[in-house]
Amino acid sequence: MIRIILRQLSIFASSLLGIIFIFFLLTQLIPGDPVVLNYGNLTPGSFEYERAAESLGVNQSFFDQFYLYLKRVLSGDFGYSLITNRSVLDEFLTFFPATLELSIFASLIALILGVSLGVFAAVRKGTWLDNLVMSSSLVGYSMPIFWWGMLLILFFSLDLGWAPVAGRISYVYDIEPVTGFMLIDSLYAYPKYEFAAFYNALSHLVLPAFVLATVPLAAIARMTRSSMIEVLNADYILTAKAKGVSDTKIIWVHGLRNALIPMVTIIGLQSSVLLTGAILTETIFAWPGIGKWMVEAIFRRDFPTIQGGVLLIAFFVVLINASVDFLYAVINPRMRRPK
Amino acid sequence: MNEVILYKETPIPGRWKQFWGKFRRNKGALSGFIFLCFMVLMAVFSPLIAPFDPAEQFTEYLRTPPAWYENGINHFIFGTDDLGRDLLSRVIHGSRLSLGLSATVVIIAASLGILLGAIAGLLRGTLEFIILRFMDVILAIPSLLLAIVIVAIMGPGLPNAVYAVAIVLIPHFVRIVRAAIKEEMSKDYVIAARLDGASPIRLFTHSIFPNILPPLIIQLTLAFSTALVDIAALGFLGLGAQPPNPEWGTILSQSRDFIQLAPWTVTIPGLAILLTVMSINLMGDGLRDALDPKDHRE
Amino acid sequence: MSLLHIENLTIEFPTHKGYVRVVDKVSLRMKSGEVLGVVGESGSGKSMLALAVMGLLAPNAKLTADFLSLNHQDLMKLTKEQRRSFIAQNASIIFQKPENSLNPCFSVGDQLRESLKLNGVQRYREQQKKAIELLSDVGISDPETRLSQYPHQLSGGMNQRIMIAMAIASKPKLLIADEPTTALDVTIQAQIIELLLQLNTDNDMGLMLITHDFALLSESTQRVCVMYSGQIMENANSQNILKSPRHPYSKALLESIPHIGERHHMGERLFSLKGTIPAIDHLPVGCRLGPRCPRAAKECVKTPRLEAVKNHGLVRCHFPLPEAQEKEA
Repeated sequence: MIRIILRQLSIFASSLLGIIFIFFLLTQLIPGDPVVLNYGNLTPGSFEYERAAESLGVNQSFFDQFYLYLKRVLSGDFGYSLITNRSVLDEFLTFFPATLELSIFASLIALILGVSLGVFAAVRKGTWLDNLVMSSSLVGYSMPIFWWGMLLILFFSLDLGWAPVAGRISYVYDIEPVTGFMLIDSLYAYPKYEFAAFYNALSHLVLPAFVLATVPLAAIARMTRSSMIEVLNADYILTAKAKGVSDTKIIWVHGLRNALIPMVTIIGLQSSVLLTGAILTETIFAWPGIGKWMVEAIFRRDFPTIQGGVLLIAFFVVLINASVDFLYAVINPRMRRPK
Repeated sequence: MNEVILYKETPIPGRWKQFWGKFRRNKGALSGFIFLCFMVLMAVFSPLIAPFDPAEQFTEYLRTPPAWYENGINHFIFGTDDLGRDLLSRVIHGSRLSLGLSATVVIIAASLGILLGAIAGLLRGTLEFIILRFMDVILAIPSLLLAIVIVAIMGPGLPNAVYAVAIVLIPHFVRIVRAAIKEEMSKDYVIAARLDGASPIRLFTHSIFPNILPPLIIQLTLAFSTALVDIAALGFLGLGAQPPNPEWGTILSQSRDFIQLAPWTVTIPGLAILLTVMSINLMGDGLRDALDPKDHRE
Repeated sequence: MSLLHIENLTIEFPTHKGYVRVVDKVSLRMKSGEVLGVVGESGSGKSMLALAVMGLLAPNAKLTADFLSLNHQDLMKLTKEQRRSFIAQNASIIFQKPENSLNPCFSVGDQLRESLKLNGVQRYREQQKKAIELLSDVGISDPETRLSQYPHQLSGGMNQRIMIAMAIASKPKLLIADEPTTALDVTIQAQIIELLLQLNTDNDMGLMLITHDFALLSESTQRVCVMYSGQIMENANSQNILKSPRHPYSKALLESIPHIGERHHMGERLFSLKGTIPAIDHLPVGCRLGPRCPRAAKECVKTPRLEAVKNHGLVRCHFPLPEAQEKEA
């Protein structure tokens, strides 16, 4: 176990270093005065300009500049927004819980629905149920989600009026961000009205979460199906059948356990797909998360925010991937060392 | 002795004939292929097919609904947008942009990816390590976000969007080519060719490349559909093709504000994206099944 | 009554060209405690036959038979669930690749305890005790440690022994061993066969030994069934077949075994039939061995029937070989 943890940690650290280096390279490629890019419109020659130039190490060698950059990043200094003047890390932490809440909710939908649909399709291979699951997953898999989001808004919010159009909660409620997760914060906010705020937050969450879940859900259903079909053809399934194990147990215990192992890594890769989707979903539903924050930063040409924000998101993805690899090593007995 | 032919031999069809036979039997794949051919023809001949110029404004016909609506007119089958432009013509001309740009993206990404993958697979050591680390980093950043950042650095606009999406797609090609080469290199027939003294380049072109073709073809279709969606997404965010251009994602971002007044300006271009991507994916599935050496006949 | 009684069993699979017969009207009987050898090349349908008896065929397979009974019970008269549990109690099967036939996600102990639980051993401690007993029965040393290990941590021979232990947990009347030693080292092969034969005599358990290797059967079996392209070609007493095969195919199989001690000359080739077993959807007209048979004649485009040969058994050939004379020294 210690061996696995150490291995994962070293991979994680080297990936982080690689990302920081490549980001540094990218920043070097950007045309324009690096001081102006990072600190806004300072007059060259002024005291502030000189100090900023010194902190970036503009006149020093490439490696010294990288060393300075690495030192800043590792100490948690990701620069300051040119628009709000707040530290990028602070801004990230303000917006991130909203994205995390949306993504977690979407992953749950995608995982639970995707795995069960995949299993049902695999077990009923070749029937109308299988065909239905497979063809709808093809549609879901091919869906441009920004359009899908607009369609759902048009139908559920504008035509039927079932769900709100945008935001995380109605303006009626003024929720103090304690955890940053609206579902949790809204539970305690208005004790007098019981769960009214919570339901309101939930109704805001359902539509965007479903839109965000669409592509991963379809992908997971398809993968579960093919992985499950392969597993169900294995000899050990025949062995279990010959022993007289019930069908339900064969499918959900003997089958699914094996089918999920190769899927763990692929499900991990979906975290990147999910964050990509979050950018579009947040733009459509005016969801105040990091996706919307990033897109706005780009339009405002807020360079430190773009750079720091993307770096932080990349860190997060690497962290997820490392944990997924770790999980894989834990649940797969084959990864354990022979005794 | 007089030989009598007692038993007729049935010839086993060749590799490509078998492949086509399997592909053709897959109805979904075949319909995807046919639809895609139709879209490609439409893209190539769009100026001839489209009834109007995509930028021409019919000011008396602002937001005319499609022909099948009660107050629609047959003149504009798909209706008009808020500036009175014919939606059908815009979608037809958009197919040229969307398909053409995606194809360009795939060509750039595939050629660079195959080259880097071959280098990483055939030469080991530092260069391989550097290439792989670099690709890992690209993979660690969500694809659209990376494309957005690249566009943000280079400035919005079509060429930059194309480069950005291409860069995002390179790592997949590198990985597939490298992994396939590593796998093929350890196989006996390659070792035999090496013992015969084949040079690395000959080894790659004669022994390895034909055998990694199937996964590569599948990756090409995957990349094509990803490119199509990503370019549309960039257009939708206002970072790709710029407004007067009838690129499908750009049309969508423009009609977003009129979603309630003129819903068809949202549904129709989106449907064009969905159907095209779906047909590519259907074809990709069919290719994967048909190219799979494991026979799934039952 | 017989332990296993099969009359005209046919298995068909749907393909895009219609149904294809992988097993064609096979009939055979096994007495209780008998050892039956089933021999044939890969693709001859012998494994399909085994799966059919165990009720393990893929759902799209079409199985038809005039009669199919196991341990005096007509299987065709049971519902699907009844059949599954009846077969599980009365018969077991082990497969060719032990590392594939054990579930990689569960420890040896998990899998053995599951078998025991299905056979009515409910309490954990009793299961554990029985599992250790079973493991020692099949000749595994240090059974306590093995229980907590996973299949990938053990050798192929060890895994096959565990499969056998699991198979005998239900005290079956019939054990089907489908190429049980093909994936193992030669020295281990002999041990496994010996173990199977010992279990056969100790427990009066019928044993169907499926193999492509005639050499493996030699003295151990009482009867031998030779299959080719889904049909039985010869079904006779094993001594008779070994001494004097009457079907050209059986003869070819026997002659392709290299004999230790016999002198082989430099450059001499072992006997082998030309060509390969025909694809099941490209079967020749008439006798299925026809195109490869050294003795094929015009008559062979008509399908031969499985007919009794005097003092021997059943043979499917228009021109059965004459009884071999005692070998001259």
